[in-house]
Amino acid sequence: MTSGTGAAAIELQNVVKRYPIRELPAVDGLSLSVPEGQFVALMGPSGSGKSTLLNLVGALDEASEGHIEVFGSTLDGLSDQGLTTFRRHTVGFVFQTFHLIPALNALENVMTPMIADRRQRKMIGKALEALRAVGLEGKESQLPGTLSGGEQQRVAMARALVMEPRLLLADEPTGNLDARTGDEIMTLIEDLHTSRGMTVLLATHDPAVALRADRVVGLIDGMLVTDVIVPEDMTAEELIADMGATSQPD
Amino acid sequence: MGVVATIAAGVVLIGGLGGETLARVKRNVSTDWRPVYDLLVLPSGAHPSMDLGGTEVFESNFMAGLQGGITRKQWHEVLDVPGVEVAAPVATVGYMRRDLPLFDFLELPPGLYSVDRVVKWDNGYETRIQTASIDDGLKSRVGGRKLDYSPKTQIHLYPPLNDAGYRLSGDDYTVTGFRSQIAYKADDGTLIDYVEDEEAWDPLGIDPGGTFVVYGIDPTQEAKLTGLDALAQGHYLTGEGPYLPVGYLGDLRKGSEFCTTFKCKQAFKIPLLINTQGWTKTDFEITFRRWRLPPLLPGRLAELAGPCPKRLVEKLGSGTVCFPPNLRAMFREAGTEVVLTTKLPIDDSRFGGRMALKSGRWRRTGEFTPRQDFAWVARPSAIRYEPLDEFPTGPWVGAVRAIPSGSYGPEPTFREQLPTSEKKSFLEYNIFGRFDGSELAERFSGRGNWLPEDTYRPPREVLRFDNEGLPIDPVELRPTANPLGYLLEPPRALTTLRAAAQLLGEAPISAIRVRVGGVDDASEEAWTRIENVARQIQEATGLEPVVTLGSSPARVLVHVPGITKEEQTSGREAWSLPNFVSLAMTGGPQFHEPRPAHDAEGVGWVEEPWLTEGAAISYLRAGTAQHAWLIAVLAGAVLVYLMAAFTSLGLAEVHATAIRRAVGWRRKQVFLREMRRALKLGTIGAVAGAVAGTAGAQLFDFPVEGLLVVIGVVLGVALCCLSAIFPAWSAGGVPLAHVLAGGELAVGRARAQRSHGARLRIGQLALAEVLRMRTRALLALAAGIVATGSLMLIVGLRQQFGGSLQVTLLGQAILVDTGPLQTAVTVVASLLAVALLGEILWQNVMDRRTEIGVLRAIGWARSQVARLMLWQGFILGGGCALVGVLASGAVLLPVLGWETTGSLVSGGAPAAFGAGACLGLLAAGVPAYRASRQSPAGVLRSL
Repeated sequence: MTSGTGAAAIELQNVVKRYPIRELPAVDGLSLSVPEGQFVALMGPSGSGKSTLLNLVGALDEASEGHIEVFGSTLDGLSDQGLTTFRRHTVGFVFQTFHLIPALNALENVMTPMIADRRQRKMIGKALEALRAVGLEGKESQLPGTLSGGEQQRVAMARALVMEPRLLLADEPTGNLDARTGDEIMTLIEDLHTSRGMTVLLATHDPAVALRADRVVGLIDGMLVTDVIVPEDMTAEELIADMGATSQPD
Repeated sequence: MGVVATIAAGVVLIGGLGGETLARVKRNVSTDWRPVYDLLVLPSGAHPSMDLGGTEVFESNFMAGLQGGITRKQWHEVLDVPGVEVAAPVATVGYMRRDLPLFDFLELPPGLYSVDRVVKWDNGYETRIQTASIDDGLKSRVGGRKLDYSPKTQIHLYPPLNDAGYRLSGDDYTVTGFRSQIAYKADDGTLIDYVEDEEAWDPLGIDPGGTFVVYGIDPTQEAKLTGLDALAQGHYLTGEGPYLPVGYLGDLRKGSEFCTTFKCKQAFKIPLLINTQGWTKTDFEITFRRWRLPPLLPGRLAELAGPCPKRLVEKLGSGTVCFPPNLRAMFREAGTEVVLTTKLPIDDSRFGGRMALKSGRWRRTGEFTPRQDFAWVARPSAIRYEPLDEFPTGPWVGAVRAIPSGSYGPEPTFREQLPTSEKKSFLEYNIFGRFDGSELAERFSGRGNWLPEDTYRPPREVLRFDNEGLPIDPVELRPTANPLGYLLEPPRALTTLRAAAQLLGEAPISAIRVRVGGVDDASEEAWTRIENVARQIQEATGLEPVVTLGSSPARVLVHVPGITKEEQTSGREAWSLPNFVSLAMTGGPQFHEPRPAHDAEGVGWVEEPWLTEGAAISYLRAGTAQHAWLIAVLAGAVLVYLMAAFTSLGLAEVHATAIRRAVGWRRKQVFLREMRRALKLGTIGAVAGAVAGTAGAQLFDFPVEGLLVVIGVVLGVALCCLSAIFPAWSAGGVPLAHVLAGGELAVGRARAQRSHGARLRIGQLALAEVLRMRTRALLALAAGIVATGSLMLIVGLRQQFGGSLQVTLLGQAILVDTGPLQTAVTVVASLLAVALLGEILWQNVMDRRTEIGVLRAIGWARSQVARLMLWQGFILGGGCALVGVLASGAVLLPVLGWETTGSLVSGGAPAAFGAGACLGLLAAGVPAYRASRQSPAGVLRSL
């Protein structure tokens, strides 16, 4: 586990996100700074704004107010093209429901980010390497429907990593998996974080998953309520105690 | 629901349009199926039919090749056949030369004149010009004799000087011997009226373009068939009148000049009814030159006159004086002056009507007096044709080549001269009345029922390609007056059948036009009745009846070639018909030597309305069949369309269905739920569609019956329920575990790219995705097959129907009338097809918003997402349309056969692919663009 290099990878200042159909903002005046290379877990009950925060940092969505800076790039006011380029090169996404393209096999799914980048060469080699990195060597020809949940999530991770992003955003990556498979996935994320020095922002309900992070941020109603640096010997119970209501799933 | 509404609207519209089309076909056929006569009875073996591309047709102008062959006894036998209402015979009497005396309408001062003239014949595609100068003319005849001005030959004057009182004094001369070229007008203004001189040629008689044919008719039967008696001005050929209805032997000119010349023994006097409607066009430009003659005293004349050869004196009498050659030289030295140049637009109407009557001295005396002319019982054969395999493409049933027989005068001849009657004769004719043939033509020329052999109008022949087969601006040909020419005039004069029989002998009738009683409508029964009458006529007379009822002129392309000198038939007699033709075409008799042949250029490719039998009945059957096909195609298309739509709907709800099944619903319950929904959607959609269809029908301006609307609604609902059965049952059989596990329906292994370093392009990715999403692809495929297949079927049927109609005039009339409706049917079908394919493709993209969101999340630009979707729309739309074309080709094959289906598929495939691809791009591009505009987070959050 690393604790970051000190330079801010993510800088949020008074970020607010409102949706037209919701009375309360999904993110409400949130300020957060994440150093480069830090593994941060976001905890909080459903509707606390975890996914929204990931979407905002990943440039999938735009903040209603406030300032977002990722690796020195200000996302506010970026054009769609700028946001697209940012996502392509800076961020890797892993979703709870994998979101693989069902008609494409594992290899092709992994290649999809590269297809969008005209400068990419040796796509297949890189994609195979990414699959090998997540332990799916030999399964590149299989369609998602024929893979287990854990394998599908590995494919999703390979897809997220193939462009070698500096930031990995994972939204409940183990939420659809059993404990053992979830543990394998988290080990994989940890390894990648450690070996590549990636900054990781991971949303989870599970304190055991959160314990693998360097830092756990608790959200309730879109507001940051707790921010805990996780010591190596911290137990789940201690984390729950520290996080309070944010550790409750609902 | 929109689907069902579209279908119900389509049912109402296509059903209504199809019904209206059929109604119009029936109306057209009912109106135009019956020509002037139902049967054409021809001499045995004279039916000139020809098999062109499987269609039995006969040439449009074939009456020009029929010269008798039916006796009056046979005609009476035809009249006696039960069911025969009218039997009107036509007998080709022969061809007459027509000319006009110039001095009837020119005022010139006294003097001696020569004439130069320019004659222009316009046959539609070219103008032929012929000039005749004084020198040419002086080589011509004088009183039927050859006049040669060569230095070695003397000029013969006839009658003898002392009898005619020839004077050669000052500028006034009486030189009747030059009358073929030189006209005389006396001091007192009196014209030498050559017409009064029965022995003389009209010296300045103008031949306005050759010959005209005289037909013999039975006036009573003709009146019954055509109502000609009501149109006649003057006297018709029946009843009381100052004419002799029967040709008789007149007082003869035995030993007279003409009878000697033409070896005639008898002259006939016949009554004529002139047809004022003409079809040939001839213009004359005439220049009169007055001679400046040297002053010659009568005594000098005697000095100039030399002795005549003995044979001439014996022949012409003792008073014959012959002038030495220098007399002409003296004339020439004195020269001439142009006095008058005038154009005489002697068109056919002037000749055939007023002028003819004038020349018959109607105006001058108020009574009819006889006029004499040649009647040559010419017997030109029918034109010989040979079928051609290669010809310019177009809506013709086939093509033939006319075979020329020679070249006489300014045009090639195409007809052989058959042996003539013994009684080729000199005629006297009395013009007792006239009629306008165009009134008859109008009365009996429906758009589709006009028959080429109809008596009073020539076939409409249009020159469409030049001799090399290159298209030209269409030119309508005019008939020529050459009885051996290609296109001949209809009869310009009628006489009685009895007169014709006197001239032609026992079998004067060329054809009998029969109208059968008790035929009131276009039906199989009418056809059968007429065929029965035809059979009885054949049994009773041995003649050959052709059923013209239900027939229609069919378009045949005829190559009309030219001829070179080498091709000319040699060894013709000087007295053969071509010489007569030459006479007719050049305006003066030149019987002594054959006119030299000309190289004549080919005319080109002419479209002619040949006759095909039974077309009307075929159209009725084809129209009914097509209507049935339209409805069947529509029903089939709708069924598959709805099946695809319900399957698509089921797929969209596959998770919900899986949950229902998981919580205890039985398959039957799922099925019934789906069916109830189909009924509900079908009812609402059908009602909405019926309303829209009715509104559309108002837009197209055709009536829609209430029953049709009800049928449309019921059919819409029924088809909806029927088509929902399979998808509803399939929905209940969804693989629960797989679906509930979040799995998609794409299964199996897909070969991975192994070549490291290769690039994968968006198009390849799109193709891979299309190929693996089988259910989705199958749905689009079904949509494509239904859409393009139904469209192809309708277009194919329309093409087949239109193709069969296009080749005949009746068919063209139907096509013109039903064309907009046919187009409307096709448009409705096309809209249905577009709606179907478009909806499936749209649904396809909308179902994939997740994918779009993911792609956007991992760094795909909007344009890249749009490109992926466009690629898939292109592949699905184009590919499915292509498969649809092939599938419809398989359906059409047994109906249309290999050739038509092959051409339809080969022609339709690229168009269908293009249209399907465009539609796919449109249907995929629009929703893809819209989806890609959404926030990726929004898309992912909504799932």
